Amino acid sequence: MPKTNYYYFTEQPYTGYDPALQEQYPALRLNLPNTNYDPQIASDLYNRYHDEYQVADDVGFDGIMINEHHTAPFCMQASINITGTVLAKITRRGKILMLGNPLPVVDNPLRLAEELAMIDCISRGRLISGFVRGGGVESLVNNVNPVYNRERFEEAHDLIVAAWTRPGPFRWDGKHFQYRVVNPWALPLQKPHPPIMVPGTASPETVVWAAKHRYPYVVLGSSLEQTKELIAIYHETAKEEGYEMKPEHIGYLIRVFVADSEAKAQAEGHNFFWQKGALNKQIREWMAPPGYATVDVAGIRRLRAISKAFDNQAYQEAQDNYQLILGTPDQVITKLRHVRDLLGVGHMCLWAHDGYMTHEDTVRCIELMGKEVLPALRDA
Amino acid sequence: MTTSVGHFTEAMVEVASTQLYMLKGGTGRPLIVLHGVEGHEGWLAFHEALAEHAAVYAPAHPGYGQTVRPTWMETIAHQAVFYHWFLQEASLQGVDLVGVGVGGWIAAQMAVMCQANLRHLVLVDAAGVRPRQGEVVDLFIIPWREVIERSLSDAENCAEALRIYTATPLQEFGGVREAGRSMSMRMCYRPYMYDPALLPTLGKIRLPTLVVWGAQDQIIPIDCGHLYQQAIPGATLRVIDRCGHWPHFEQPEALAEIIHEFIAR
Repeated sequence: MPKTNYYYFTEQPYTGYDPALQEQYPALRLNLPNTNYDPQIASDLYNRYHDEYQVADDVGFDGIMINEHHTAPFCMQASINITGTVLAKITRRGKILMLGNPLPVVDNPLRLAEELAMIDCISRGRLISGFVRGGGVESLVNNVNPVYNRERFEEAHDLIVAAWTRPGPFRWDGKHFQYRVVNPWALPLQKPHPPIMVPGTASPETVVWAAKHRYPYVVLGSSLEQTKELIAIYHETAKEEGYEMKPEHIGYLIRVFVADSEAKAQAEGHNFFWQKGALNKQIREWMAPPGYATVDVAGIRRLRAISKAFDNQAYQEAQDNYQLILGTPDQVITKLRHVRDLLGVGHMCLWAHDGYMTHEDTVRCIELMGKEVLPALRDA
Repeated sequence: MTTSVGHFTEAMVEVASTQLYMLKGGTGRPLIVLHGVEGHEGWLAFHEALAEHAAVYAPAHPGYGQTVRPTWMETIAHQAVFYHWFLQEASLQGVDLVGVGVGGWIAAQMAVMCQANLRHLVLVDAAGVRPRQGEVVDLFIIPWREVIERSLSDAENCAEALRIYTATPLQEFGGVREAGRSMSMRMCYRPYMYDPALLPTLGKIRLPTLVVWGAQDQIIPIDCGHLYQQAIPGATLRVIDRCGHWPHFEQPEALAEIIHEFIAR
């Protein structure tokens, strides 16, 4: 049994729009008019989600995973650093697991380094700073050229780590970023710098990059078969780099909902399909604009061939495939153990809220996890 | 390497260590055709019509698949520099320069840089300037099939487009066209399809210039045609009816005729 950390996750969905809009805007993003956004509803939801984070922290999760998306009602976090800052103040124990800041869409990575350093200091060293490339839409809405996505990801990363670790002042003359003086007066509490993690779903290039930097790679809910392939790539790369991959290098995000009865859990589980496959209805030009993705690599074609989008699975099929785990504590403990031990992951992110689940049901789920599921998983 | 196919030859021409893919046909004064975002789709009916009276050069821009992108090349201005090198290395003088769409932008940029080897400038539904009214359609966030349909006033009856996309059907990912779309993205993404410095510098062009626009261009507003015509001293604007953003596909003979008429003066 791997030593595993368990994190609570919700995307913070904005549920206040009329679902009938999907007939006209199948993908529910980018061009979905924001006249359908009600700040009053958003205000209530933000505060509710923050309350639920506090419950998760109190009941014993090892941390809270947060993320960022733009022009997307499925995720209200337009800035992961704002949620991170809130967590720094309203939680006391758990890690703040950012998965993550979309580096390529940031025009000023030095400011990002400063903000993250502040969050690390304010939270007294609880930050885990994940970095992502971001899907195509994130580049489009932030108007950053998708062609430079990978270059900007790598350069922004190098700059942030340098800003955290290299004594200033120094100059930065990169291809995409230039600074006459890098000398931030906000430095992280954790040394040499906060842990970095990299999430992904399918790109072998990203796994290789993470493994070369010895950063944990977190698979975001891809099928178990595909996840095993990605882990194998990490394992191989680690060997080439002269070290052995350990459970702490791999994480997995999985949808799971716990209730007092199986019937209740089965009823609530449908909320994980609340957007009716909207993300898969994005056109190719949004998901992977020309120049964004490597298209002619055999490994990518193979991974695509075995991938199966969550939303394209039937309800029972998703459960049979361990993509969705629902039930009473005893039922989910067995299944989560199976996934954890099969993949050998040191980080499990439990996506335990989505869609129209009520605050009461969500809190009950978090409590059952904290009181029954997590202790059992830590025992065996 | 040169191979002859029908009325044209196919060759890789070395320009500053880059192998430039080039189709060439006809005899007479040199005339270069610069393609747009549609990429290099081979020897077109448009090229054939032009080649009746000129030595037509139809290159594939670096980055568009048939010609590999040198790693330094990122912008329209870089393309313009590159094509000036081509003129020098091929010893071409008195060149009639025709550009369509983004190719028109490259041509205008070349004319702004240096007119020594150029004789006439023809800009067809050219990108490069920001319209005062309306917007250039965002070609980067709609499906490519839709880009093609909206670039033609009557896509169902455009023989050239039907020939091209039947011979080599569109594919979702990859291939030569993916490379071209990526290169367009690289060069034209932000600011989208214009260079703020182009319009103020067009006034120094001293070449006889013809601006051509499809009357039904749904991609670039004809206001951009007016801007080009007003900014370049002595330029004339011709509008082709029953024609969208790609006159070289939709009205190849009519477009070639207008160009012949203009450059024969």
